[in-house]
Amino acid sequence: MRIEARNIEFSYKGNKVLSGLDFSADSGDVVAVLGPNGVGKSTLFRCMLGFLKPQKGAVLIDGVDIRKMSSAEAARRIAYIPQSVSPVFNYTVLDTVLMGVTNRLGLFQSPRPKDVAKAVDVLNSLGIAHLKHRGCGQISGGERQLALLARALVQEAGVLIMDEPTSNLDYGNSWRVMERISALAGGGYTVFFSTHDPNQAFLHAGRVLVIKEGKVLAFGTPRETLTEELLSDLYNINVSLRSVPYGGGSITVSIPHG
Amino acid sequence: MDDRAHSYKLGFSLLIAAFVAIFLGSFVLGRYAIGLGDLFKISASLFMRLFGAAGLRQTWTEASETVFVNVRLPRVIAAAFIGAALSAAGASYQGMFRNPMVSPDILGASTGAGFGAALAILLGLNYIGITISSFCFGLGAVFLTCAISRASRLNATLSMVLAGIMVGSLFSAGTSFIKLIADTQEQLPAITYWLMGSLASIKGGDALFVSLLVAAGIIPLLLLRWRINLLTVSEDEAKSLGINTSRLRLAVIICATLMTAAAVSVSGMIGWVGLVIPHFCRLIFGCDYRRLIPSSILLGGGFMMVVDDLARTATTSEIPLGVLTAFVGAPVFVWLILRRSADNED
Repeated sequence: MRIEARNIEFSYKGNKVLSGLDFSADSGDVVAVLGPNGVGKSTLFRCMLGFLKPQKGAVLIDGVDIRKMSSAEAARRIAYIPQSVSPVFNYTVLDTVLMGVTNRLGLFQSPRPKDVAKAVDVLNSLGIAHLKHRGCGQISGGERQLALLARALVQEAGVLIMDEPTSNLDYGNSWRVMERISALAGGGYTVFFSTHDPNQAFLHAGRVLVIKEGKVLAFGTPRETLTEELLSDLYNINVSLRSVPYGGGSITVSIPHG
Repeated sequence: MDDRAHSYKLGFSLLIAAFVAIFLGSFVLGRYAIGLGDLFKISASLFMRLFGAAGLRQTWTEASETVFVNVRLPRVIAAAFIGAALSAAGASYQGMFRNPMVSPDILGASTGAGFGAALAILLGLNYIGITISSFCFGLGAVFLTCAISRASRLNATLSMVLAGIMVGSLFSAGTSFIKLIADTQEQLPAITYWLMGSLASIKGGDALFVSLLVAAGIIPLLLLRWRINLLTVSEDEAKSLGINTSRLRLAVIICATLMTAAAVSVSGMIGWVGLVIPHFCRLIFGCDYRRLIPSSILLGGGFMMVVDDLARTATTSEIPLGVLTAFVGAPVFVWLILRRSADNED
């Protein structure tokens, strides 16, 4: 699915949070969203999901304004994957994933056997089907993040929005979750994820959207976009980029220093 | 998968069997004993007469029939509906506020109802007047809570909890004030006794009133039970999953408030049930509201009937229900907390 942000402007209590944001992404794009804390990344995501109404401009999914859709219609096009936090109620992984089918159920309907089968298929494809009857409070943060990803996938939305998907995960789990995410591009999904680690953009994203002070600073492939000057300027520290051999080719890594 | 479905089915079968056994047993128990045989004959006869038939040849005493129809029937039915209402309301609120420690009183429904009853007793209203005043003040208190929360700029959940605490303490202060100025010979004891909760003076009309209103609240909650699951995740997640959160939350509040206010206006204040029963159901059937709402209804209704049986048979004078539920509820809750902390250390 194609998602387009057209000249978005959003103010909160008179403060301009986003202004003149303009970008688009298509099926197969994995976009890393980079920018310092408080720069409006979460606000941008909430506008893209249709939770907030921009004062100017619009977010279009396949040409249709997200704000003109009902929440169920929007849920069939765009899904949100939150950070993996320990849940208040210990739902099983399967029940959690089944919540994703709600947009296709009638008001008084519960998930049907075919929905359960679909949920199990998705869990299988992510390699966590063996956890389906475990409580979400009793599995690791990485497994829980994959369960939330599975919930978004059964929603059958084409666009996936992830707010710092690896922020609560250890080094290994972060990498495993990111590998799953970048593999989604092959399935025709359009993926946006925010991150504070430029290396994640180099490793896992096809494109990078750099935001500074509510504006798009740069948008393009990580190699062309993320330069030492841009990263140094963005995070206000000195950053060196080095090319290292990686999986037959080479990859750029960023190293911060004072 | 099949194992689970089977154990849930078994659990529900046991729960339904226990509910029916308690329901029938509650008619038999009491100072005036009615045999199970007489019980069936009287009910069958009543049904036949209801549809214009002659009824069975009377082999039971007139007193048995009077006690059954005028005393026990309303009381047992009211107990079942009140227990079911408080438990289902508690379960729904716990999900909506994403907090397992929430009780049906969170938005001020029962403190408001208590104030309404105290006011009606002070004004010398009759029994029906007390019930209606109590019900209206229960609804009014929740309406006030929602209005304050709406006007505030805090997030919906937090502002509702805070407004609920505020409105609750306002109405309980009002009740205290009424107690202070009430006539100490008759009104004060009546208010105090009412607040402790009892079904001793319940009549057929009350049972009908509470069962209709509870049904009106419980049926939508049963129908919406899958969606209530989605209120337990964060607001943004719930919206992104495709539900209209503010409308669903409003529906839950209306249903739960209607049931709680109706229950309290008939029975007086009965604590603990709405907090403890959903906990137990979660232990047995898990968090999923598809099973949590029906199991809370059955377990809550059954528990309330048992407590009311104890209230009228344990000692020569009636023990207030609120006192009994606290005696049972508080230790059970301590056990739950200890059990939970033991689980977490594993």
